[in-house]
Amino acid sequence: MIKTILITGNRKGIGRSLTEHYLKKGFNLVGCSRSNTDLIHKNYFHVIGDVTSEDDVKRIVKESKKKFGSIDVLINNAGKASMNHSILTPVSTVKDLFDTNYLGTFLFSRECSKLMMKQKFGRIINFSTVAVPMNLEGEMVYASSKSAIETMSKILSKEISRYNTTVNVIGPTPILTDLIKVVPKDKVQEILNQQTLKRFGTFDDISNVIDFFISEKSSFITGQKIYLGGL
Amino acid sequence: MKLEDLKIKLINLLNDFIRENEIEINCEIDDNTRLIGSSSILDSMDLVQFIVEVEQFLDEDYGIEIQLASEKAMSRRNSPFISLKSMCDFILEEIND
Repeated sequence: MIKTILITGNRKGIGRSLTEHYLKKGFNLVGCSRSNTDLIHKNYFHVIGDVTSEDDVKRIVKESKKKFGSIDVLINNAGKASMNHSILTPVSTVKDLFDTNYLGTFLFSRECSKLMMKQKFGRIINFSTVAVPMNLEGEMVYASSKSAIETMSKILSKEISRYNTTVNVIGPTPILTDLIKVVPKDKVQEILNQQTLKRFGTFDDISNVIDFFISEKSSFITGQKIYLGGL
Repeated sequence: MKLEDLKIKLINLLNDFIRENEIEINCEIDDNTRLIGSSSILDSMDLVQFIVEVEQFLDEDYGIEIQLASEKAMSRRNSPFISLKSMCDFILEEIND
């Protein structure tokens, strides 16, 4: 039975919205971010840490387990975006995006898989983006880091399947968060135009897919990705 | 931590692991029991899980946080996970490093 959900990068945006969504449903919630949160709830526990630090991730997982006894669902939400022509992209941007998006997802998946393996139950949700199937110009590094997450998820789903643990991916369209603010408006419109359903995604669109993935009834759904917006 | 004490603890841990995971074996577990290869009592995923259990045991019972599947372990000519004995030797080596 699902009791505890860990959401990375949940101080604002999609992570915050998911946190509030699952607190309303009565789950224990662990959140983590690099700075503190104003969220106070009897079932909420916040840990400050950096998803790119192996020591921090180990500590966050350990403290979460100590607080609530298990981590049943991991939602690897923490992520960074950047838009630039490939030729003008600094190495520091490549490293930064791969550290946060790929390494952060890897570290949390690895550490939480260890717990899920032992408890013989788990659900891991990773975040991709519609920029992957769209192969958008100007999003080479961001889309590549998310593409790597898709491959990671496929392989991890096979490696931990015998422990009743599933790994699935959601690929949101643009939704109105701080992350999208760094993307020029014409680029955002270009993305929306390529979607079958030409609108911004909403927090509800995202939680709807995650509700499905983490359901105990979804034990036969693993290694899958769902893109929003009809891609 | 003494080698003989650690061997006994890990033998007990492996016996518990085998029981909990309903692994069929036809031999007594001792420190020479093979953990890798065709004569191993564990398959590759069992071994991964057992290594994680050993890491958790060291952390919870001794407050020792080490990652056994380190680059050092993986790059050795002879894997430290061949048997419980070699695993114990490696753990002590890491602790005393």
